[in-house]
Amino acid sequence: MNAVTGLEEKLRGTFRYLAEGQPEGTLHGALLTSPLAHATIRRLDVSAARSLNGVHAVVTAADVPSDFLMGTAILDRPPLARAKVRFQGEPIAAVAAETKAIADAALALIAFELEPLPIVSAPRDALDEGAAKLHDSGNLCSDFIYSRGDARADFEDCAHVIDHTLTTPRQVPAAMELEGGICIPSPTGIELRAATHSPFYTRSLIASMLGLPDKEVRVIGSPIGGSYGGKEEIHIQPVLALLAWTARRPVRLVLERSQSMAFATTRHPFEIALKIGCDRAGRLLALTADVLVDNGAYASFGPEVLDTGMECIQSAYAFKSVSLRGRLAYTNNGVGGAFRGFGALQTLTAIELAVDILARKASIDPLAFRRINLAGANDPGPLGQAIIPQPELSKVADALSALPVWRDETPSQRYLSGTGYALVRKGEGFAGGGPNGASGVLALTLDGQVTFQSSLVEMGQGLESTVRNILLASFDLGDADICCATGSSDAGADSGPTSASRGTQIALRLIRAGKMPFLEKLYVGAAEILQVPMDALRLGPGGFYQRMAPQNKPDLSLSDLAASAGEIVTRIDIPGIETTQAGVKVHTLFTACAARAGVRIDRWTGQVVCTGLDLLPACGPPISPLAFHGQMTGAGAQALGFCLTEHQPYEEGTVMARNFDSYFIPTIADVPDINVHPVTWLAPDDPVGIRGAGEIGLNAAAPAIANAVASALDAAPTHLPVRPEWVLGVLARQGRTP
Amino acid sequence: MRISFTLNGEPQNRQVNPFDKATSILAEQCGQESVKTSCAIGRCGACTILVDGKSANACLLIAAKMDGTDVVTAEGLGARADAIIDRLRQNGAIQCGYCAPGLLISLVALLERAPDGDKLERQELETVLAGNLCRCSGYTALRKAILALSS
Repeated sequence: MNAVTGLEEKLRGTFRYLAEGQPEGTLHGALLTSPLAHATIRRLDVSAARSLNGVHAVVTAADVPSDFLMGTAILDRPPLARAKVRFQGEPIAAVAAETKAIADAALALIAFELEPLPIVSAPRDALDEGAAKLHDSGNLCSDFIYSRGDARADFEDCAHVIDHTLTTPRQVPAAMELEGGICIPSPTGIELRAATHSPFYTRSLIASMLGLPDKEVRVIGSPIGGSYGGKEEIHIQPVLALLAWTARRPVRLVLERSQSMAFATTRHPFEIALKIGCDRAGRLLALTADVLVDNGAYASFGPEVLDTGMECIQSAYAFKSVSLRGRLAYTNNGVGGAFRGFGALQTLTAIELAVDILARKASIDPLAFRRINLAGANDPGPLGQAIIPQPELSKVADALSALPVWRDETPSQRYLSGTGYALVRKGEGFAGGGPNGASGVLALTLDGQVTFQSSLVEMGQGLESTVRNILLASFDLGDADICCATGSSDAGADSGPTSASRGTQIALRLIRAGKMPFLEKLYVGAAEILQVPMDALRLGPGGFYQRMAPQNKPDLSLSDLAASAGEIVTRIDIPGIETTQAGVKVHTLFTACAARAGVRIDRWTGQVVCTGLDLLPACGPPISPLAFHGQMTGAGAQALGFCLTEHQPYEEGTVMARNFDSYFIPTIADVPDINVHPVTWLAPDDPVGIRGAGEIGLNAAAPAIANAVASALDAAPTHLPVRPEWVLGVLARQGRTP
Repeated sequence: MRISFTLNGEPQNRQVNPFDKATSILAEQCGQESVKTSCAIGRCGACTILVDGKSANACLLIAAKMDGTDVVTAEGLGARADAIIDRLRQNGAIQCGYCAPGLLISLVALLERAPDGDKLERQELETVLAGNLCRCSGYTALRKAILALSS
């Protein structure tokens, strides 16, 4: 069984991504972006560009309804800069022209004047009184406060207390496929072919911008050439749609890598200051956390990222008391957004480092320390909320302890080696109140296929192969009898976003919920046509068989059934698995994972190499084993990048890494073989029976790699990615430089 | 200027400008969507093609330099790639697939270069494929697939 559909076509280059295969006469779209990080737009004159021969549209903020803003919790982002620019690379205007050369010439004819404003380049400065304000509401985008018990008093009872502060990188999703798409207008609407995780959400957003009814906007959101959350954000879709609707011609707009590196939303850098303490027996008593997040210029998913990070900051441990504060500050450093791990990656890495430091101080083995403090199977969730019980946590700890021992690195003068562990959990789906419910359709289509229709999207994670496996396990049918239709607003049912690791869970629950009502319709239809009672029939490969007279061929093929009965459709709606809690946003379904990493550190150069990685995800039995394995190994490589190689630096609002010559995503030579050891046991009464695989591997792998560095150096990283200069500084202070 | 070359066995005669890159001629004029532009500076390998049997980043190749050469893209590999594709499928080595055509070209060039019966060393594989970035897979299944194929 394939991990992904279309594998051979992808390899041979005949697979079509959304920005490929444009219709004849498609115009070339191009963006004018801001060279400054923070400025007032004093003048913007596009008249000369508009009158250039071969230019069919030039659009600016003046072409967007003045109250149209984008975001989730906070709507603050115009698709084209309005009155102000707030980050370098922010689109100011866009053109659609007959050729690239004409489009470039038109961009050069746009006259604009920017009056520089003070640049807010660090989140701490942003929150100072007197800092330049990015938005009228001030630079505090959102905050988070939660406490349980009396942490101050419990620290008094601690035998060991440590504090540690970790700063995490601005990691860029950097999918190989750039942000872009094609938009084809009709007299009454548009068809938008551009990557999104939420075709219906994108459709209503674009329709409201253009003043069109939803039904006049068709959004095709997949297949996607890699996203990792980056294309969950609204990217160039509004500008593309505006160009095509204005030009009344198809337009193709694809960013260049250097534009993408400035424009695409990134993982938020977190500064996480933790203080934790335990008693003499190693029991964790108290945690205080002060978290400051660089949100960049627009809210986007920032508030949700902060909430998720704060919810996960206790990892899988039972602290007696906690006192948590988090703040999200606007800066002129690009725009932070959704990226696999979604805030939890940052805080989990910090707490796992802190736990190891404390365990070492208490002279307790790090694995034993984790066992002592593991949350109980029926404990409430980290913020006191009701959650689906997690008896699998202890199984994960068992599996981590039972891993075969590493083959020891040969000790040498030059290299240090270390092993690190992590045991984490993260909420799956959205916090209570989010778009957790979903709809889908089971249909017998006129061509005789049992089809699951949803607006879930395929981005390489193997959603389609997973859905096919669920269909094959649910219905006694052959491979040729089933179909999976995904990725667009054609589905007729909004399945919600394909994000937060929820795709598989949603598909499984929809098909499970729709199976019996759908089968009943099929049996009723077949019984009527064959003039036999329903219980005399059996659905099998190809169609219906009479139980009493088994044949090699079905007595009624699925296509004959569809031809006689017409399309048979069951619409399915499922509620979200969620609880809500006053004051804080909480998840209900949690996924656990452990990891072990090995590193080798070169004492001469300070270079850190990841030499091994084991991942132990507790996601139940994998439905599509190859795809599941691929989710874990891919997450491991992105964790390696987060810890060792990736960071988008800004200096006074200026983007410093504009391409892969200065931004380093791991190559095959950087990534070791990643071993995946699924912990398939979930409670027999678990209401879902599986957990999503999308994010959890990353959340465990990164802290394990960071802890491996800490163990090799006897010093926990304070900044990620770990820089050779920092390593050499630590070694020098320890007198261990060669 | 006009250039002549063969593309996947078919003769081509194309008008090119001195600064055109092979990527734009192959993808836009010749319809070879397998030649993908991602970084455009020779780092990611998504545009890898064969020029006279050797792998090259089309984004770094001035189009005029294709004159008189034999160019092969992933679309033109045919049966040469069958065994590799089978192994990659069995191991689940490809996810979103955007890097896949360039990767396949690099693999064909690497494996056809290795003398018969010569076992491909892990380090050689990694050195060659370090020019083909994959953001999805973590490379584990890819490495396993190819090392097993060559042994």
